[in-house]
Amino acid sequence: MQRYIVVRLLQSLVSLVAVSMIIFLLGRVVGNPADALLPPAATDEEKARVYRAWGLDQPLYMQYARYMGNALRGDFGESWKWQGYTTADLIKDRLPATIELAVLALFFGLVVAIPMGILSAVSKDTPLDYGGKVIALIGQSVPAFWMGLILMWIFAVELEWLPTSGRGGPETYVLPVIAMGWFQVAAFMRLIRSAMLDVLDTEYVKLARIKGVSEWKVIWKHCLRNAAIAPLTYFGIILGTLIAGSVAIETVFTWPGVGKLAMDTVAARDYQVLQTIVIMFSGIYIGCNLVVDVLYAYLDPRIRYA
Amino acid sequence: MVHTWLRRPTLWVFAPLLIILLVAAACGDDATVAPTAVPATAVPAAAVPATAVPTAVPAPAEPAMKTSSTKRLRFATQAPWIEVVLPWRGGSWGSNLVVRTHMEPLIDVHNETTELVPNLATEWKMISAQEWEFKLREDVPYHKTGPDSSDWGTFKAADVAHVIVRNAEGKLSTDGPAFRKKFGETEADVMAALEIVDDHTIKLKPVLPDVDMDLTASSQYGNFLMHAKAQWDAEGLEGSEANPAGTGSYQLVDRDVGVWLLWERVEDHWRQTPEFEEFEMILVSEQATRMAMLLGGEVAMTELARDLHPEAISKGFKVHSTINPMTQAFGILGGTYPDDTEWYDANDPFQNVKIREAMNRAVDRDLIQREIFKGVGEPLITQAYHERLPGWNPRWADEFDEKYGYDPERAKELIKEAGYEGGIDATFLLMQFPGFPEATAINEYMFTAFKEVGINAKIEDWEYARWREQLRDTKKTHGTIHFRRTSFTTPMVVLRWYNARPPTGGGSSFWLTTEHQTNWDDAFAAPTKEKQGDLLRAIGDFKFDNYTEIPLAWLPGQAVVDPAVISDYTWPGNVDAGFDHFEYIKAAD
Repeated sequence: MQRYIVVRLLQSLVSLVAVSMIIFLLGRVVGNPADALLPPAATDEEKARVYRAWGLDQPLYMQYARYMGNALRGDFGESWKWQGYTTADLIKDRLPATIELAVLALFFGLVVAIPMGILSAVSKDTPLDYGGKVIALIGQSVPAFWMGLILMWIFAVELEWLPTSGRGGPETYVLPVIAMGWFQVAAFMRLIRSAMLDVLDTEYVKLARIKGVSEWKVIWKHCLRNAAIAPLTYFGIILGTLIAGSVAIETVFTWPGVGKLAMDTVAARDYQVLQTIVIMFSGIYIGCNLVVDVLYAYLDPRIRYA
Repeated sequence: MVHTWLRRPTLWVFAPLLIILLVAAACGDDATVAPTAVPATAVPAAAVPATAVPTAVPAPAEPAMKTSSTKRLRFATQAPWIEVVLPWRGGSWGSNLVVRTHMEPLIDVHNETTELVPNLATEWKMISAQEWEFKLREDVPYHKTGPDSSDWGTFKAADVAHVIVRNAEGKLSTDGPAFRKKFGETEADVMAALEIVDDHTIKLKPVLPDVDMDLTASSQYGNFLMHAKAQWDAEGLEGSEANPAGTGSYQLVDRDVGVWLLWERVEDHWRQTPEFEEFEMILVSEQATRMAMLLGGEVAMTELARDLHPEAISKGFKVHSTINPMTQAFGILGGTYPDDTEWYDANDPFQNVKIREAMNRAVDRDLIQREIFKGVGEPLITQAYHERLPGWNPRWADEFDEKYGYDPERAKELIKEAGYEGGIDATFLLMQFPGFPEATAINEYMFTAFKEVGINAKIEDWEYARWREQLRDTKKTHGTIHFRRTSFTTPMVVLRWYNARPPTGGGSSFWLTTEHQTNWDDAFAAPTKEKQGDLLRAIGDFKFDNYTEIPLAWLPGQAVVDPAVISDYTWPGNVDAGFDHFEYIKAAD
């Protein structure tokens, strides 16, 4: 098991370095921030001055090496859009809001999807099951930002039950959590439903019922536990996706998280911040996959010896 | 057999929702959402021509005594590219939108008449093009800032020098390149170009002639806003940014970087005490969200694309426009250079004046005004020029219909006469600009209009920064057209960006002749405003007669307001930001 963990860790590190290199290069392929931020009347000398001050006059490999060297010491550079703030400061301030939203969206997805998936499985081929499938289809077809705007329109503008945007009291969480979590409801529901259907047909479930075990126990204790392994894999990936995919929802709801921060830096070409965010998101995604793989191997020993 | 209670849908619907709400109630943070008041009605201000008043000394306006029952005025707007609270730390957009709320310029633009009026400077005069004297207002206190309410005294001449030095040092300041040229690069150089006569008199002695120092001092297109040197000396950059000390009608008291800023009214302000006790600016990049915030009553003012204005108006909101136009929309023809430059390409059809005339004749400006700009704005006759700005020639307006009027048949003839009977190719560069959401629609219309007359265009999506980068390698803009906007400001600023070569001009140089460049250089060094105006007129004549751009329209800045909270918002318009003079917003109750 230890060998498995070490190998997966090394693989994750290699992935992260490769991702950082790609992101760094991609950011610079589309141009540099000096042209976006300098005043139009700035001359070539002015531009050269800014290039020197920001280290943009160095070759790309030198810039990358310096960035990674500093990053290992926790220095991710200074923001160009928000003068006087370091990248680390900005991300540290915003990350809790994103994690909060992602965790709540995940929780929302689970608490809605698990009962719906179970209900759909035990009521197979009934109107309840069909309804569940339709919800799943809609959930996976509708873009999250569109869902967000529709929810905002209905509940904030027309009904005035909830605020349109911002982060504050509990009422401010409702719409962004639903908009963000809805896709997960659909995805989890389908996974749970199909896993439950497989398990419900097994011999040991039939035996449990014959022995008179209550249906509640059959479903929640025997079936769900065994059906949970497949969704568990998805769970880990989804948490990473929710954190990394927060850009659209945070922008729509003006949620002060890392996703909105990323969006705000795009127009200003604030590379320092943007590349750090993207690398961080990649790191979270890779990390979640690593945790899931290790967990999976722990739960199913066959995996680690494969 | 399944227990029946498991099949109750209500259980599976409400139980999870209840859990969610309980969790959400347990989490939470300080709210910035404060729903505001309840709806009413307003009257937009009429446009008033501006007159330059170089040395006027009118009395300051009576402070407003009215206080709104709405404590906090909330305004949702796009975030500037660089978000700053000190003027020299970024460009004019951030400076005018944010900093001008808590810091003031030496000379103001009157919010109703658009005249230059005394502000922190009570008098100013141009002794020569290389010597300006400013008499400064006495007893104007700086905001007390910080947890111990530090007192930074009153506004003095040393503060003016401090701001000039900081701008000259600033990497991203819009005034930075100009201040470095005019005053020097180092603090020592700058101070040598200034003379502090006494605490309330300062002379600016630019090393290059500058007849527009009064415009620079109005900070309409720059960063020349006053900050307390005492705070800078005591607290440095960090302290100054944490709690900036200005003299504005509002004082910045709190901020969530990239999210919102909050100001509090300065009671009994020397110039204008705002009617709203608090002013909150919420930075919202998504337009649909801004619309929702307005409709939901969470903000009393926002900016929306013009095609959303009818919907807002139908729901009882009002649209207020700037007195001055804010934006000029026009098309730039890339790669048009005179034949004495290294960038000249004789094979470029854009070099042919008949082709350029044909392009202008292919455009139905009335249609654009009506359908794309929704009837807002006024015609742009010659790019960079307006009747209220220096260098205007009324001949252009008189001859516009004759020379630029929509005539696709004439356009086709011109293309044939130019020797391009088979048509010409062009590339539209579709770029997005803040304050110009119509860019896409205009490009799409032009694509069709040009095709009809034999100009075969293709559209490419470009980032503005990419265009500016390639502009420096000037060959790469040949054969391209893009529609963009720039600001309402003296033609000296606009021409410097688009039509003048270094060292006096910027990096871009469309349409020059040796004569034009000479006129520009002479205008740059003109000893009087009159001489500068004459030279600008000569340049404008050349631009107008040679179809150097495709002028479209002057557009105002527009704010959509909740008339129940705001009865009037009259502001002169500003470069980039468009929104300022918030202290003059009148409450509805």
